[in-house]
Amino acid sequence: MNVPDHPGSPTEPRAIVRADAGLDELLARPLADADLDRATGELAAPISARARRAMSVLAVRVGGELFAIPSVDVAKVVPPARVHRVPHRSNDVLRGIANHDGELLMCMSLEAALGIARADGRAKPALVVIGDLRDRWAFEVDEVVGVLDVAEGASREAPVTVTASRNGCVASLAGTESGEAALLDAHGLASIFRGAMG
Amino acid sequence: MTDLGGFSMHELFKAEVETHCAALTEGLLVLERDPADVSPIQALMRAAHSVKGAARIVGIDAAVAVAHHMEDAFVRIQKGQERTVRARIDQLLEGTDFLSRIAQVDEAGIAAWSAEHAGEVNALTTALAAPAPPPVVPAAEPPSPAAEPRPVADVPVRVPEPARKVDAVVQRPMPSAEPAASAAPVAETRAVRVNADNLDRMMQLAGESMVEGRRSPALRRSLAAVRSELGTARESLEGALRRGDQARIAQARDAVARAETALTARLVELEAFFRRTEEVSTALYHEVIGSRMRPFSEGVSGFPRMVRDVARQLGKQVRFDIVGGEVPVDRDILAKLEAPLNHIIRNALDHGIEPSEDRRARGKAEQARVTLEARHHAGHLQVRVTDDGRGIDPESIRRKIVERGMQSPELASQLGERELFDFLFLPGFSTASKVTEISGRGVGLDVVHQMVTSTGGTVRVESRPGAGTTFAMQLPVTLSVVRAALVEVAGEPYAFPLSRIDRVMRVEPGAIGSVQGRLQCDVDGHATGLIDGAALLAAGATGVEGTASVVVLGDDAGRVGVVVSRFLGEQDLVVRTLDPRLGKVPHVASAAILDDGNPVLVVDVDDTLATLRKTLAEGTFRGLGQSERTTTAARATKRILVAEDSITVREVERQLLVRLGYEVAVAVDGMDAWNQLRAGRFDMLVTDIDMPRMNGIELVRLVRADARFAHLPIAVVSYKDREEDRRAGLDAGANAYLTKGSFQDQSFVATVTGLVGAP
Repeated sequence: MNVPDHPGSPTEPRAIVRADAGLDELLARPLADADLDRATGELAAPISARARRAMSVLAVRVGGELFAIPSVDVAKVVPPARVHRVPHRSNDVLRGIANHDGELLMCMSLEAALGIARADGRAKPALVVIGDLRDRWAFEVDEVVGVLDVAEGASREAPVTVTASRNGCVASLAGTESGEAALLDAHGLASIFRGAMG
Repeated sequence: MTDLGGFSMHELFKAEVETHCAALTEGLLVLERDPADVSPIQALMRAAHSVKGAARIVGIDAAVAVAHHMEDAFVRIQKGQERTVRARIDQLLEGTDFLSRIAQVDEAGIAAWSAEHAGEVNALTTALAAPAPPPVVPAAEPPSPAAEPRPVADVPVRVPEPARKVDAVVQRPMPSAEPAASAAPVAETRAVRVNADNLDRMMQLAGESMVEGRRSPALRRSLAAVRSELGTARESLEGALRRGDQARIAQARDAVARAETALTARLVELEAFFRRTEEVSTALYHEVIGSRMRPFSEGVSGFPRMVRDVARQLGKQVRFDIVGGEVPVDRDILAKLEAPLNHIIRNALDHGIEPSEDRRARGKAEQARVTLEARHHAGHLQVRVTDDGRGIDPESIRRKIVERGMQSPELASQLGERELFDFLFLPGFSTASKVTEISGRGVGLDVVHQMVTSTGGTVRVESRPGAGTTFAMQLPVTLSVVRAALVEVAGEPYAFPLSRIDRVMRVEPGAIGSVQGRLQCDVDGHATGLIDGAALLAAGATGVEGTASVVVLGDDAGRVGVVVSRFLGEQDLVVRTLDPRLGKVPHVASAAILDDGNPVLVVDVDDTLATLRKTLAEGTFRGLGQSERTTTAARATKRILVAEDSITVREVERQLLVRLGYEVAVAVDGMDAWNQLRAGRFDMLVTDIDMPRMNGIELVRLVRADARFAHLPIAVVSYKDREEDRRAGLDAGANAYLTKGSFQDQSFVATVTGLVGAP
């Protein structure tokens, strides 16, 4: 019979017991005073203050620009799929429908919706889906930078040329660890998409 | 509000009352038909008792009182304390109607509704508690003048209004296949009934599917282990071969043989895994499709009562039978069937069935029969409504056709019976002078025809004067799966439901003619105009080139041939509605997903045919013209697109190719080339790599990602001559990679002619 070459092998139950004991020891250790103070302070802070502290966003790059979408508005990020044009409906903004796990997603062009650099037709690596089940929109992005935190006070107003424009849906410019990103207002974006339905 | 599995108690009460009222109605009608048969009594007592209990739980006292008195009446009949008389049946049916109505009232409005109907409750309970009314011998009610039967020749073929008299008799809404909508606020999500066994099987299969899915990591690990063994054996063999160690070589061979055996075993497991996965997913698919099915009886449960009430109003004795109540029917078809069946049955009662005295005089049984039958036959759902009434005289239809000037007397005289009966389904076949209060034979028949054809079905009439009439509908078993012809239009797949098209055909260039500049071909002797599928679907205009792939739509009344890029085959498609945010998309009915996972749009043939005539007349759409025809001879010269940012190299390439006899277009960079490719038609692409805006590798990838250019020959010509550059070009999808020195050694010319053929 082979002898397990490391503890924790499924063939040696005692090793599992030892690992569990170690885990218990790790989790049961007393908190450091500093950690306890920080956690207590966070819990004791007013809810409004806590909400302002940080916002989680999905950072993506589209048309050479960095955008951030509040994570709460992102349904999923999936691989791109072949888009089927919708006759008499497809246009610069509405690309068509695409299948993902049996769901026919409405695929839009973020570049065209925002009026930035036009799509160059290159294959995109990911499809970002925003909205809830009844009002979902998908658009391709050039790069998914990741889920980042936007720290409190790290945002500034977007220029008036953007906020006052017809298709402006940038809520603010948010400082992230990957640079300043245009924070998209998902509802405003959905509104632009809806307007492109013809 | 108390929730139970997502439903409020009131919603559960509504559903329960709906079920029990159907049972009460059915049982009472059986009892009425044969008062001596008390076998339904037990079920009737149970139903009334259950409603009473349910009403008590939700605190609806009016329903408790009515159900209680109904139950008492059933008990008296069961104990033989009173006889079953028609008047008592009427009271019990009224009680049933009351329970149905109160169940539809909103939870919040129950108290007010009950107070408003307190008098009705009192009258009902008093009547039910009183001794049974004496039996009344049904007197031969003198039929009202309006209801007076007419000779067949005088029966109006179509009355454009519902039969008001009959509607006045039956004021209750017909129960539908779906839970009654009622006046309650419309829920945002649609709730549908699913058979519990069906749901159980779906859950089992879903669980099985998950279990199967979990086997895949183990299979992957075992395959990885085999690969590792093979790797070790290969290294061992290489070492032994270097050393010439025969013993080690033999050992390594043994190891390879063992790995091979293990690999074979894993492949067998893998095959079993795939087979099992396919079985489970197929079974799950069928269960899900099956979950859309409801028994036929569920959609027609209100008809026995309707027949009873209408027949009594008309003073006729009618026995109504439903055959095949258990036949599963797609819930959407079931819902669509209700109105047409309602029309057909009412018409049968009103005009098909003769008054009793007429039947007696003709030697027929006094009690007429109307039968509603459903069955599955040859992959279709067949629904037939048969009556043994007076039938339809085809000669009366023939006369009307001539009177209306629809056909000349000569032609009308040549029409067969079946062709004559088809006129009954034409909208506007009747004349206004024939409109009466009573439903005619033609009432709603155009609606029936419309409904049936909208589902891809057919309807026909069979009738023998004096013997009766049958309306036979043939419908698809389900609306969720359609067999479709798949075609490609402008590089994208589209589906035409097979039941909605006449045929698909390839038309040779010589068989395409021109009439007033519009292209046409012959289909069964009919000159059939051709339209461009791409233009129809707003995908630009592609014209006709060489042998045309044509989907023929329509019938003898008007055929058109839709020219598509190519046929892709046939497939069963599970259709799904288009996203409602798109609104009604012209010429598109629904969407589906192909076997390869890509979406496909299902063409709305009816919509296409309906709008085509209008748009052709308006001039907003036109048939394919002679100028859009490109014959093979006309474009014998092959076109090559050269993408090159250096003007010198570009000109060298262009001249070389033109000298060879090719037609050449040039692009100054990748983006320019991509735009030209999409706008024009090319037989080959020659591209540089280093270009501004879009380089050659990006261009090749882009071209290959587009199905339209999947087979376009591409040659890359670059100064870069390293192996990794060559590899990058070929990996991107190029067919050949040449250096610019190839212009001297003729390899450029040889490569181009090898890829695209002679000019």
